[in-house]
Amino acid sequence: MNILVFVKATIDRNAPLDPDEIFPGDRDDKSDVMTNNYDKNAIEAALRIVEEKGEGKVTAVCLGSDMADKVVKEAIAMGCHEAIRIENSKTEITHFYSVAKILAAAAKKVGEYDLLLFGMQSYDYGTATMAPMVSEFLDLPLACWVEKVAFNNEKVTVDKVIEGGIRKIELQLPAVLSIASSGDFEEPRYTSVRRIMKASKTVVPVWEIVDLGVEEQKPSVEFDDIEEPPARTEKCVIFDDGDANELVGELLGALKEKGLNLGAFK
Amino acid sequence: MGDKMIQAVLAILQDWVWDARREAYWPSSIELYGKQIGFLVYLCAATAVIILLIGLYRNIRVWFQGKYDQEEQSFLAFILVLIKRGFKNIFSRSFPKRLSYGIGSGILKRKTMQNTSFIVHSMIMVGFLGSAIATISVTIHEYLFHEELLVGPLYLLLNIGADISGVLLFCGVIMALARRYRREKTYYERAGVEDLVLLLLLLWISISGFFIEATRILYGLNNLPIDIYGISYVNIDFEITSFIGFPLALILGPVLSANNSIFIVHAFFYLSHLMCVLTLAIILTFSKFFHVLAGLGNIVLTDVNKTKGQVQFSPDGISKIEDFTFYQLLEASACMKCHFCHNYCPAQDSGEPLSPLKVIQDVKNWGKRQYGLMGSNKNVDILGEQSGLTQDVLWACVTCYACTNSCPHLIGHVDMIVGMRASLIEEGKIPGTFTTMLDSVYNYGNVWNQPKRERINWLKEGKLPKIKKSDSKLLWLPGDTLAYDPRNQKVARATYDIFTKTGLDYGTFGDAEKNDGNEMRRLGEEALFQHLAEENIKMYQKRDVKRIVTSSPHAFNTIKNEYPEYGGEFDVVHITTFLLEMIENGKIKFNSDLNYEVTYHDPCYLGRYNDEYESPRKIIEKLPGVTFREMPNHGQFSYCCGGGGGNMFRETPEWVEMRISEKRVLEAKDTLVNPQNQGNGNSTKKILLTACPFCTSMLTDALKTQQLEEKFEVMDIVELVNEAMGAAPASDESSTKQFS
Repeated sequence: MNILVFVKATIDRNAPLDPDEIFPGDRDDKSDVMTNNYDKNAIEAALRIVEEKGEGKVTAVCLGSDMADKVVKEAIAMGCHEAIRIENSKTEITHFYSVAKILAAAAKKVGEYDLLLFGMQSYDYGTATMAPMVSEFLDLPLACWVEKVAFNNEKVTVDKVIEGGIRKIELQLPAVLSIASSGDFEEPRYTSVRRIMKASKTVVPVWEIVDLGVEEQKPSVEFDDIEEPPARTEKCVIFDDGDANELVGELLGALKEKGLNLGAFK
Repeated sequence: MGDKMIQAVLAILQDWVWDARREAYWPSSIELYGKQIGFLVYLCAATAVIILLIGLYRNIRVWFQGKYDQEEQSFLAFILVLIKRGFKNIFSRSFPKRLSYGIGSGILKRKTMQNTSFIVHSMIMVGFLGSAIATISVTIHEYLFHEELLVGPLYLLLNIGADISGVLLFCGVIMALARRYRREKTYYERAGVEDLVLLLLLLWISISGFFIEATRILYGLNNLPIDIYGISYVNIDFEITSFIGFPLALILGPVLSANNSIFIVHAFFYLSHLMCVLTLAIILTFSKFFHVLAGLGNIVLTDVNKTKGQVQFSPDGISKIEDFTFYQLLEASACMKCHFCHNYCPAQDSGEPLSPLKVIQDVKNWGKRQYGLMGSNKNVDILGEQSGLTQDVLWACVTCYACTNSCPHLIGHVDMIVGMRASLIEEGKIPGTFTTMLDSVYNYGNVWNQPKRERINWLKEGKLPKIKKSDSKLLWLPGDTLAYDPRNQKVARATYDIFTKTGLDYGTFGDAEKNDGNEMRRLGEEALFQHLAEENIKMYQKRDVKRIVTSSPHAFNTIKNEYPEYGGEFDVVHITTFLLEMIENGKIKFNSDLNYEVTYHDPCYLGRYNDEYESPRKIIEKLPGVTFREMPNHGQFSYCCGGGGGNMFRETPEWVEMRISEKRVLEAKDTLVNPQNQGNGNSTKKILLTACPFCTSMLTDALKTQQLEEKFEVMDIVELVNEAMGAAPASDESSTKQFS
């Protein structure tokens, strides 16, 4: 079973916010970059599938600048057998349509695969569109937000999260799945520092976009401007000292003072 | 006058003492069954010895599957190392102390002397050894000295000694039986058949020993004058030195008058005594009784220079028998299921599946299962259901050291558990909350998953001095929890206030400070610990730090005991020690009367690991208007708060009936709010004091869940010192941060 996992480098949630440096490639400090945490669920799923089957190969694919090296190597440290980084250095291509085209082309270049796995969305933009688009470009069956997988010959049965429940779908392999951050793959395995150190010595092959035969697409979305939101000045007031009935009265009074429409509460 | 006295005494003693002797191997059985019985006895003995040797080989075989001192060391070279080490240890100064541990005086340090196990064990041990020496000396007398050794005073001494030993053994066994099967039944629920068999064997050995002695004496008394080795004795009054056997003979006298019946009774006791001894020899290596050999071996070979606060394990982790060291497997064999570790383990107490005793027994049994007499199953994973060493067991450990501290055989439970954790870490099999915590430490240098730059946000006004600008090069390490945890930020603030008020010249690393790594190492994340230790040492050395004050006992422990491994030798003190110094040399002056009643919870990493029990108590003593009460579990028997060894970041599993911290606050409640304890009655506040950010946090939470907030408070000693210096009592506005 050959599995391709697509991983994304995002800005670390604890890195300082800077509207001028919203892409990992803009940053100088490697510690500002982190693996999209939803992709870790996808890697976990891929590793578990291979471990249960007892055979197969997991390849991590990442589109990013050299700042994304950390992410690719973390995938190897987690247990991926191989990794590929597609160079995206000059201006980061971020419009989703182009990225999906590139990823689909990369999958075609790899050739032999049974499963393409994605995280359910990205940490930064959260569009959750990559898996559907890639499945469309490659003309493969798709299931999103998958919690559980079971294999049966050339088919895979998945539990997919829908509102208020689970839907079971059977797909013909090869297929595209986006893995939910709940269910079987909720807790990605811990990657020990020893493994990270070991993985940091591996050399990851870098592919160029031009070699994939993808023509640059016109951005479907363009950013006019990105600004930091104004700092919040409201203070949090907690009513917790005293009788509950009185506290409710105090709370309503305070809300009224703020000019809120209290509806039935007067 | 004096001479005459001596001569008179000597004259009386003449025939009494100097000629006293007995017939060795008084042969009632031979009289009864002929010489063939001797052959049968020796056959049985030989069989027992062979089985004993086989059992011994089985155990020793497992030990040698462990790692040697150095990799690639040959078997013979390692044997040489062991011999050298043994000699060095035996002639070291600490050896008598360590030996006394094994004998049982280690148990003396137990919190209450109500614990009679020390007396019981000493009685059985001395009784057993004495009896064995008496029996063996008869053999030596017979075969090596041709019946010329145990004659006169030496023989009488042996008589007295043997009877004292017999009495000790008998009484000890009776007490041990009562302890197990009547008084503290629950303690020994698992003692079961094994203990019963061993104790009954010992009991019968002591009883039958007396009867053998009595029947032999009775025969002599009935057949006076009697011929012993060609000398005719008109009386054998010297046998009165057998102070149990002789009266017993007199009691038996009327019942057994015919020589033949004496022979039969003697033969019965003699043969049953022999069979019991041989059975004991046979089961020696297969039961807990093996501790008499392995325990001694362990005490002789254990690492003398081991520091308590230093976890020792191979960074590869332990996932199979071959990953343990030779010494660890020897330790496992030495375990005699005394249940001390089991009873002192707070995790076990709270309902976790972890029992340090079971961990050690599981390791031992797995070793024996993989390595039988001949075949072997190499490299089989030990971690999992198959051996009982599951993840739930291993992650439940709070590394509080109560187990090793209470172990009479100096078994290093924590080292083994941490070693096995290391291999779980390597495979990534850890609870999700640990993943978040460890990732955070690797990425942001703190355990709280917070940005680096927010490390000094706790200081709303004022400025933290930088170490670069401090002349004294005194470094204060507040640590992650003081920096990020809302409750502990108040402690950070109090410390800052004290330092500022006293005009102390000190410095910090501000937001460049990094986690100390103590918890990482206890979780088995050795590489992360190394990474942190090396970076921290580099940072301290670059700034030429002269002295370090840590607010966390965990950081104190690792900097003091583990950083030297990586080339970082620093003068490090915990904040309580430092504050005591400042109080004693008059820098800190108290000016407000507190009028509080307090008790103190010893943090494991300050107390048990680093023996610092006094400083915090001395500070409390010096605080004006503070009444101090000791909790029942204190000092080295202090209970844990449940936050050590990374467990601060573990979700409480559903099987935990009552959390460790909750048990502790209930104990504090009994001490502080007990109506019998209303000493002066007019104190304004009752406080459970501690000196560790983890303890403060865990106990504060437990106070809330147990709804005891009205009754008393949890505070760090530093906060109280600050208050006694005139600061207003800390108000409760800390939690706003959580909601903003």
